[in-house]
Amino acid sequence: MSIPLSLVLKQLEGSPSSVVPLLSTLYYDKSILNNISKSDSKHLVSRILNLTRSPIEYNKWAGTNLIRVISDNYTILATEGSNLFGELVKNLDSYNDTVNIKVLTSTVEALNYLCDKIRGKPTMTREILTPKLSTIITLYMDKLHFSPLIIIKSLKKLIQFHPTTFRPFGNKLRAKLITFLHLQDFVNFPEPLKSAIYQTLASLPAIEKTEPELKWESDVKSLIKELKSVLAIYNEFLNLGDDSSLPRLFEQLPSFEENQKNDKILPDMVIDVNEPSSVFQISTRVDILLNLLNAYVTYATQFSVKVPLGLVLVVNEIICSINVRYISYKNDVRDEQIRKIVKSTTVLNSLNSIKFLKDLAFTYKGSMLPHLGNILSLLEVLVPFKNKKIDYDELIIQEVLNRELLSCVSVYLSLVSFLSDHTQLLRFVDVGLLLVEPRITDSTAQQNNNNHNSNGGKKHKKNKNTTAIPLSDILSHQHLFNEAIPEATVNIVRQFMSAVITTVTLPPTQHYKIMRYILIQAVHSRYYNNEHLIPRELRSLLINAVLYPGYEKISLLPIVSTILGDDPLLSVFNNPRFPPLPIYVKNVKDESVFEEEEEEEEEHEQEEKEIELPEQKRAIDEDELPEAKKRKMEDEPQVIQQEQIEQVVEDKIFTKVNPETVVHFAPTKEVEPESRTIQNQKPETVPEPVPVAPVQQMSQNINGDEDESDFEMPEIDVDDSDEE
Amino acid sequence: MDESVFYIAEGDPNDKHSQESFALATSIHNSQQHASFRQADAPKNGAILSGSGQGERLIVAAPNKALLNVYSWGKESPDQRIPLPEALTCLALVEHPNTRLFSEFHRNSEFKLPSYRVPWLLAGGSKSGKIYVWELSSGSLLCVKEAHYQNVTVVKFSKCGTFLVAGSDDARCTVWKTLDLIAVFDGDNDESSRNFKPYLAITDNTLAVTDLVLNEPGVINDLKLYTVSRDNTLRIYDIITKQLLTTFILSEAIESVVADPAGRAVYVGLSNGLIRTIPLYNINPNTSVLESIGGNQKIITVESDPNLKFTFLHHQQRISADANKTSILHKNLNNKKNDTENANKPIHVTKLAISLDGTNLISGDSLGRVYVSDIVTRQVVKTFTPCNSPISQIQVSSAPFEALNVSSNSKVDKKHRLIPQLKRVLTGRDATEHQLNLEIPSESRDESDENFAVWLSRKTQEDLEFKNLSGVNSSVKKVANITSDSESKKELEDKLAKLSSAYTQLRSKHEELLKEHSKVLNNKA
Repeated sequence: MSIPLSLVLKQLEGSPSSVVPLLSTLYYDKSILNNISKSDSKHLVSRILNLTRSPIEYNKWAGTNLIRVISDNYTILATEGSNLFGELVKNLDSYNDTVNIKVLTSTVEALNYLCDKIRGKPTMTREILTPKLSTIITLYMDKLHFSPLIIIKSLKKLIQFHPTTFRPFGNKLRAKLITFLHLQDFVNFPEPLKSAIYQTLASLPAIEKTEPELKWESDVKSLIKELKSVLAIYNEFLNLGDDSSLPRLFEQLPSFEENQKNDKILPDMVIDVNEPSSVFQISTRVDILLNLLNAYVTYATQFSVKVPLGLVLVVNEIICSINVRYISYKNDVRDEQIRKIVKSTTVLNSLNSIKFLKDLAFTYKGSMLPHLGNILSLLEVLVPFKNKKIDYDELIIQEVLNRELLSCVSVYLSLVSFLSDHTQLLRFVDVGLLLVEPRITDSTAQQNNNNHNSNGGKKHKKNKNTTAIPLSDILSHQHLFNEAIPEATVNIVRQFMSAVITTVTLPPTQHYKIMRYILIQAVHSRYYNNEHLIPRELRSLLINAVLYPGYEKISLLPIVSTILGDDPLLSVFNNPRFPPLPIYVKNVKDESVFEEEEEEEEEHEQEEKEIELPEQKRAIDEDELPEAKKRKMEDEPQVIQQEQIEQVVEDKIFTKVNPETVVHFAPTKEVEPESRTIQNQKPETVPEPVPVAPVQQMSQNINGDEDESDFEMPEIDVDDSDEE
Repeated sequence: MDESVFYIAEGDPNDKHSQESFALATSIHNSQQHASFRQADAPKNGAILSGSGQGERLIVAAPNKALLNVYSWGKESPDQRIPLPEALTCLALVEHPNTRLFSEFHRNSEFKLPSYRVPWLLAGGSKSGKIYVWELSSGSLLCVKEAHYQNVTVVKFSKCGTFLVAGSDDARCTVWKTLDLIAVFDGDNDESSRNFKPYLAITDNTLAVTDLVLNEPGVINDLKLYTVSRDNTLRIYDIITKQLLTTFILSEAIESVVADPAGRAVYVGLSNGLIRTIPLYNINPNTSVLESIGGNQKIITVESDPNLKFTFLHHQQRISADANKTSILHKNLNNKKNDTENANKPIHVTKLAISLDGTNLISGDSLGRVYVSDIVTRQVVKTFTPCNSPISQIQVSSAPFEALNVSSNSKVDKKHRLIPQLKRVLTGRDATEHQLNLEIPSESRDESDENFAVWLSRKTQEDLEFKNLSGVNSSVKKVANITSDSESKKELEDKLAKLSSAYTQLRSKHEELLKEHSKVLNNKA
């Protein structure tokens, strides 16, 4: 749908009823703005500017968005850019909380868009962007609290592209963001906002005038020191000495010097044992500091930095090692509530640490592998274990943690293509299998029953009437009480299985368990899908099961082929083929001609059987002679079908077959499709010289006269590929 | 896009400071020279180029010196000279492994190319038979392994980085798991963890292993190793099952090997100047079915090739003009006697490489000549500027045109371009010392890159939110919302609204009248 310009102009005169069609017209129909006359362009821009100046919110909003669309046109941007910019900045300046928030976000978006458009074009940057930039930054910081996410993201971008202009504002922004971190409910901020704040803080060192990498490094170091001081508080609750390695790990981390206490980002912590919820401050802090550290070491820097990867890993090791399953409470911590809270803070810490480790793997890839054994054993400790068995209840209660755990392990596994030792992975495989087992709430129902039974008789009677109703359902319709396994868990477990079976050969028990799960799930989901489709994760899992068969070498392929009949990769598996050989490409002739001549060839073949053989012998004799000489000798022209000789020569050399037998079979249907596939598949990579090949071949053996022309052919090849 | 051939020679032993040596990167398809590196010479397999184009590096082991020269693409002279614990004879690089499974599922698993890409590991073999492994981003020496009894002739990583394969003059070939080599921070017991054995030690050869090549499969189970040796054999191994698949016996000692990218054939360079194609499939003459050659530990004698159907001859020809040229190049160093000596020496095909599409073979010989030949016709299609000494490394890589032709390197200052100094002491067990030096790459998918359609649909939503769909006049609602406290204020506002509307009415009336008045006046006139 395209609206003519006159109509657009008319609509913009007053308050447009809906701006969306105008936006899409102006964007998609580029010809409108490209062919616009000067007066029309003036009209358009002035009307749009009028809209943005209007006190009516809708008009303001509409005008702002129109600015974003028309700024795609270079001419308008060049001539009116500074006006557009000015108007947007004015709007931003006058924004207050009585105005609809959408006006603000649109204004910020439009400003960012204009900046993106102008950035990199030297003259425009000089004339339009640079003079306004500091105003924009000031305004962004002023209005930050209205719509923090979008504005912080914009500021982050400005830091990245204009570090010098940003320099005077750096400290102010940092202070502002840190006050956010100090807020009590900061941990409950939406995730995107939190990560935007962390990343912005992490990119601030870029504005440093000299050696930003040193500032970055000292920031990271002080974060690590602060984390250490927070983690040390656990010493008040737990006997950290139980784990012999923990004190050693603590020692490895640097601590604050006396004069550096001010470098701390968070204020001192106050924990009152009489107010148990204050203990949660520990995990809150670890959360903030760890995520901030994460942002520092994973968010892109424009300069090279020294990443203390070893220290970062030690921090994570400490966090994961502080685990109440292996470390006892101090004797004076008797309050059950406190104990529970301490435990849940450690779980929260581990969760954050696992996420961090996962992000590290994405960014640092191979550099993490020297630590792989350590990391895996670190993660292994987090698997809930009880009496040498995985504690199922605990596993389900901490499902999120265990899910992340598997996800993290699979990321690390995917960095490795081959592991010969599977012992470190078996626990994770068991966790994965348990997580996707059908869950029955039946145990809780049983407990309820028990409770009732233990109650006194009177009470029991009374309750029976009220509780019997839901209970009856459990007995009669048990299947409805199967708790659904969250989709996220299912997906993560499948990815994990994929990672495991592609890197290690599991022992048969685990292997069969996984295969069983995969196949049952595949059949199941295929049945319940109208088109018999299989979800993506499961599909790739099935294919991996075929590609990496482990012990199972026979039965899996047919099953998977039945389930995934339409998969292109499996088709290659079931119809194995060799890569097409370049040498077998035959004559230059068109395919249609080729077919016609096939019969002729066969006739020729019979006749020329005798001629070929002497030719062969001679060629052997002449082996030692230099090529040039030999060509001279082979002057007598012979009318021999080229394909046949080529065929014979090949066979002769490689398979020690008597040439007599060779000649009996015709140059054959098998060969011919081969040549076609090549011609079809790689028309560009195998250009003209390929069909020429046999001719050339012949010329060496038979006809020396053609030599000169042959030498020129390869040069055609060169020209061709130049044009590509 | 263009394909670039990089080649480097061993350097003249008389030329102590390598003044005459150079390495070049030249296009296969046209006459353009992409890059040149001065004073570059390396023992066979002793130079490695991380790729062609801006931001890539060339690492060269100086011959007989415990020194590594590092060049940046686009700069002629070395950027860095890094002292080593021992002179290295061969080098290998490997890229970081990728998080292959997750590129589909995780937003943050792909990264943009930073201004300089730093490969993951650098491995080197030495004359004493040791293998060294450094991590390039930290410079840590992760491993020193006494792997061989004699000079290590070649080291190579598998493409996925899982295995490191080394061949040596002691006729052995060892396959190491990279993870074993680099697991320095794991475990507590020094002795047991550092004294691991090779994943596979191949002792089938009787003479020096001169070259080896690994295929690049997508599934690790298909990983194959092709080794060539002076004992005239080409052997193919399946690494995962540790089995010898096929042995090919040729008539001459083999100096170099390269495999077709699609695994259709292997090309070997012989010590008599011939290059021989060894097809891995052919048509069975009895059944006329395409069958694979070898496998199952077969030993196949590659018979002589009287029709030259599988042989490239061009290196055998000692073109006198060519010889003259080289002798002119270093008149001072080579006297005539040397020339005649050279003429009697057989020509070795020292290095082979294959182009992207598998149709061109690039070969270098012991006279320093480098040719590109068409695989199908076995004719030379291009001759490169010769070097003064045996070719020691040839690499082919492709890159976009704009990346290959670097005008200036000013984009990144030197401090951030250099790789960290490689350590000469083995990294300790202390994990805290592990410190990387790199530019953290940015994620390739930028969240702010919203396409127009998404933006427009968001705006449509916002547009709707502005509209009043309830059918009730919203302004009435607003009045109701005002609290009793501001009642008087509200009253005043109402009054003001009334007055202003009355005023505007009045004004419009006035204008109307004025118009009419002027009309009347005009008419009268």
